[in-house]
Amino acid sequence: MKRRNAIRNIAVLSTGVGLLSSCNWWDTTRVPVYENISLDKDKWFFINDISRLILPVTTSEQPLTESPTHFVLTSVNDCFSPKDIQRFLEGCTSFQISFHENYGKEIQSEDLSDFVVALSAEDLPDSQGYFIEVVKNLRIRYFMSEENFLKNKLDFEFVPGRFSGCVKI
Amino acid sequence: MDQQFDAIVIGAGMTGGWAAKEFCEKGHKTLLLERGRDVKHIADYPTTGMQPWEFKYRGNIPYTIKKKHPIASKCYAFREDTTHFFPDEETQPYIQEKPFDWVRAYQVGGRSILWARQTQRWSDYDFEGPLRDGFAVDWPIRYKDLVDWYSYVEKYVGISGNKDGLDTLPDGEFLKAWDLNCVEEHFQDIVKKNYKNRHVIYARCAHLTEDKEIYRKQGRTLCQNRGICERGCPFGGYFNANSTLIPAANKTGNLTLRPHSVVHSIIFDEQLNRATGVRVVDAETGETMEYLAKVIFVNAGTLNTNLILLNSTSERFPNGLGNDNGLLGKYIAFHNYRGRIYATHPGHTDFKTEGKRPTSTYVPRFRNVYEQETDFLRGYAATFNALRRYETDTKGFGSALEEDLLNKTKLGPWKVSSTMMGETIPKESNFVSLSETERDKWGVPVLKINIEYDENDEKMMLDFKEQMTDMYQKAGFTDIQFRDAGWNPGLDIHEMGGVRMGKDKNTSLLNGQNQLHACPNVYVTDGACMTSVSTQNPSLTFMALTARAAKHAMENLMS
Repeated sequence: MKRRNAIRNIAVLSTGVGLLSSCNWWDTTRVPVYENISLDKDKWFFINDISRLILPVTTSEQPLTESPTHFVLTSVNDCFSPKDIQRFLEGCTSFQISFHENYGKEIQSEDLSDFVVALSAEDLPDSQGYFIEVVKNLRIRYFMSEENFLKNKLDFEFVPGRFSGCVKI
Repeated sequence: MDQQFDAIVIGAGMTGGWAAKEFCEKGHKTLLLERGRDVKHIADYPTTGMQPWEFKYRGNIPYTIKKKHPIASKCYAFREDTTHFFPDEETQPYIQEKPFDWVRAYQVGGRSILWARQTQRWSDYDFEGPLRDGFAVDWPIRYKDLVDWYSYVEKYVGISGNKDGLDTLPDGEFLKAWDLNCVEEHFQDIVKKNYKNRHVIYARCAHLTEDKEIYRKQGRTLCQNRGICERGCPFGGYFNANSTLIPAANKTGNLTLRPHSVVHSIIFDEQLNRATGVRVVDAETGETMEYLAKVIFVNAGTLNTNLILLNSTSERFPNGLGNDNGLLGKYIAFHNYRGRIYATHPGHTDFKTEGKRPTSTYVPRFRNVYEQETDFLRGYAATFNALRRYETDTKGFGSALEEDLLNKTKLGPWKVSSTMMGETIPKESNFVSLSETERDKWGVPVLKINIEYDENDEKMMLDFKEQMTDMYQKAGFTDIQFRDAGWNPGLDIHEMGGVRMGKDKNTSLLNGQNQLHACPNVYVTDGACMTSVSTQNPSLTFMALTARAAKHAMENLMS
């Protein structure tokens, strides 16, 4: 069942990831520095690509408060225990190596999406699954706590000033 | 700074705030000591105006902060938007001889900034419990002794509630209630039809739902239903000490508020045979000082009140102030919140709620009220919540995931849940004491806590499971699941006792006016004074006891 879902998702996913690194949030010559996560530029952009593959940044999310990838990495850097950071980084490295072994050095969006989706098939090493799970969960958390989503999809009101117990839908 | 006052109040939380307000408004010079920092209403609520998307971690908490708060981080109110209201636990050590999660909030306002705002009165079924069921000691007071004080406090605080006409949970001075939602009304009807002495009522809460002159004078306005009370409310929509009691006391010109003041001990004068003042350590400078007063109110929070009294030794009281019978620090009890039940309500799918309501519905205690029905003592109250959350499918990736989030996020079914609020039995074996070897950075002995659940609590939790399951089944709820939250004692944040009230100085520490039997110019009116704990959230009773005791002190010792 999961495999079928994965295949279905590949089809949908592949349509939306044509321009991965070409529209990065950050200046391609510099990336943010995270105190507890040692990331070179290559790895930062790799994670950025993964984040975008999981959930692309489209007009539905605009205006963004910050780069979703920066939010993901700031959260890992600041909120995770040293043990979990280690696991995350090991998963990231392992994932990247596996990817290159399977698809070569050049990251093609279609290959990457295939690989990401394969993670849901439960046949990848634990740390790689953990890495993708963390990026996905934080990416979704960011998306669902943005102003646009909260106000337009969840009827969020900061100061409701009322409570109605039985409202007919 | 003057050293002499009419009254010294130790602790600027909810009860200390009440004592200070009462004294100051009657013209008495009052020193209010608080071990934590000052928190000014509105000015010191840094997150109160922040939107969800303005939080750096969107609800996560930095690892370094969690490490500094290993106990508080278990608390429901410890969130990204509230961590600044919890003290750094590294500098506030205590010893868990048995696992006990002591949730503290050291600042002006104390835990009143963070409380759940539930305000149910006690009845004589509660005050007469120890006598009837043969535990602890008989309370020296009954409901009639407190009824006017409940009213006095409620009018000032502002309590939203319905007149339910229950003998187990007396009505009070209520502002209007918010609606029950459809499923709460459904559950209320089912329980009424199927059980003789069980009720589902609106949970009375300390929120302003009506605009009155008394609240305008306090600078407060109506609750705006934001549901983020623990950040501190800029509207004063809920009651805390910072928005009401402290400013009221301050306005008189009679208040001296001294934050960063760790009380080391109370000074007892053997010649005068009374307490004359307190020894204080400045938390920031380490400087020690003494302040003097005719009357001392100890409102440091249950366990710290025990600590201060245990540490107040003299030739007359070698085991702690007023501790002639050796019972100081013993018979501590709390509320058992471990039992939880969850279910789905398949009906009412064409209804939802709008806005937010800062309270739930409430099932008052029905077990062992009129007679002993079970093989355990006492009983439990329960919350009842019914709500619909937005649900979405996050299994997909890429555009498929975006499509699901944007277009398939929808209201899920009604989810219902209840938490038990069980009465635990005070026992001599549940006690606190002072470490003989460890002291904190201010030279105060570290508290050792020795408190645990017992067989009565386990049996009560099973009964909660059985009875609530039966009620849920009758209501047609499905997928009913019980969970033992496995909490340590303390996480209920309702620890009480250790300096209990009673009629006999040989078996209690305080008399019916909250005075130490052996040192009558020292009063204890926070949770430490409680002889038993019943099931209701206790703050309202603490406040009523405090206002009553303050009047007694002013009439008898301060005139």
